[in-house]
Amino acid sequence: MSPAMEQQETNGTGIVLPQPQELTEREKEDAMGAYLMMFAAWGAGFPLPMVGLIASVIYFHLNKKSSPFTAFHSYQGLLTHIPISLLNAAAVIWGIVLVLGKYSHHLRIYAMFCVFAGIWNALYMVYSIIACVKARKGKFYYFWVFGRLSFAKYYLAPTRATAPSSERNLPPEGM
Amino acid sequence: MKQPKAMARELLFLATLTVLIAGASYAIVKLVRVPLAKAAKGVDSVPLSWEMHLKDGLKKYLENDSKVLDDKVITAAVDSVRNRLLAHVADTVYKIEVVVVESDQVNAVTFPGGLIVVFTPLLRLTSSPEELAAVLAHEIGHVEHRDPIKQIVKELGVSTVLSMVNGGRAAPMLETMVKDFVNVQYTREQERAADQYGLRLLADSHINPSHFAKFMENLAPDTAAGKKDRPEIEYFSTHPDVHARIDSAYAAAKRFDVKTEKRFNIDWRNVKRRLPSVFDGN
Repeated sequence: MSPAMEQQETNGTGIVLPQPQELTEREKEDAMGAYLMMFAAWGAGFPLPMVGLIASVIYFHLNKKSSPFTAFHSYQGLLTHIPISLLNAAAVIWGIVLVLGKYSHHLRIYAMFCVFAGIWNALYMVYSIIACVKARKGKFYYFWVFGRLSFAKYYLAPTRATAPSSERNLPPEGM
Repeated sequence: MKQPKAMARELLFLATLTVLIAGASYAIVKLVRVPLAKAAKGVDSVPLSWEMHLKDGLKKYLENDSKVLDDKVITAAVDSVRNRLLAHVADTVYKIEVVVVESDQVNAVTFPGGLIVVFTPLLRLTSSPEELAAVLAHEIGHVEHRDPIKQIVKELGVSTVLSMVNGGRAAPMLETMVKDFVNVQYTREQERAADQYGLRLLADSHINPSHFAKFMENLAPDTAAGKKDRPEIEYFSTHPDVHARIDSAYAAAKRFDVKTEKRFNIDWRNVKRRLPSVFDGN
């Protein structure tokens, strides 16, 4: 592999990622499934958002020891699901409190919160569809912050954990 | 070193996006404020005749099952206060009636159709007819905003109200309604709107809105004018935010600036003397 090619494939980091043609169909489907699973959990769990979150956690645990590509997407999907589930849970609980108590003077603030949560849910849906399609094609897709955290967990951490600096093969000094 | 910087940048993007979405949510709710308000007024589709039917039923129920005060002096005094206020209520569709009912509750309640019930202990605690006017002006605000029927529709549903109007389950439902209304809690927005309406009505009627504040101060247990060891006053459990409302009334007094107040020519001591006693055991 020429230095130019290596530069292109590792983006200057030295980290070699699996390319779409190198991944098995099973890996791609499982990675896509992470986002589909999120959708199913999101749809079924909307009245009780924490149920959806639990389903997401289970799916992640089933896939975390499979290939790093699948684990990366499962972990990214789960991390993204957490804030969305918390937002939805807050909206549901607040709604119940409003219905049970006589706090209708908070209705406007609640409406604002629902719109706020709704916009995040819409963004989550759009970006999850994009990530789902990319994963099916064997590509990486990075959400802001969560993509970086997931990448660090599955493509950086093993190098650090298994190869401490004293045992790493390094070129001669001065080279 | 690139990783932390990139992470910080993405966190900053996320934070900015969160702020933008929060702003957008605020703007969206503001923009749909009018349609929301219209939706909330869905009760306006409830015919006025329903309210009148309910009012007739309630009046009969009160006459038969409550101690409606029948004292000419008290009735004349209350009517005089009511008439002054009603003379300045523009384009009302209601025939607003005020009845005084003997009770142990310090409260005033508005029923559908413009029926205002003042309980004797509250009347006793007013120091002047102007203070009664302040209470009535607030309750007239509830009448004009159709708050009682909104509350009934909200709690019982349109079909139940219709069955009450048609007389199907009228008697037991009316009894429940009367009991519920004594403790009815409107929303803060409804109370604020009724306050604003009442304060303006007072000013239009040449009564200083500060009487409303004085009445509240006199009743509130934790104000300088309020007396300690006073039994629970139901008026405040159904009309919360007392201090904000006192401030609002004083602000209205300044804003409306009633230069020449027309005091009622009523011997208020004599009126109160004729009331059946609750607290002093007379």
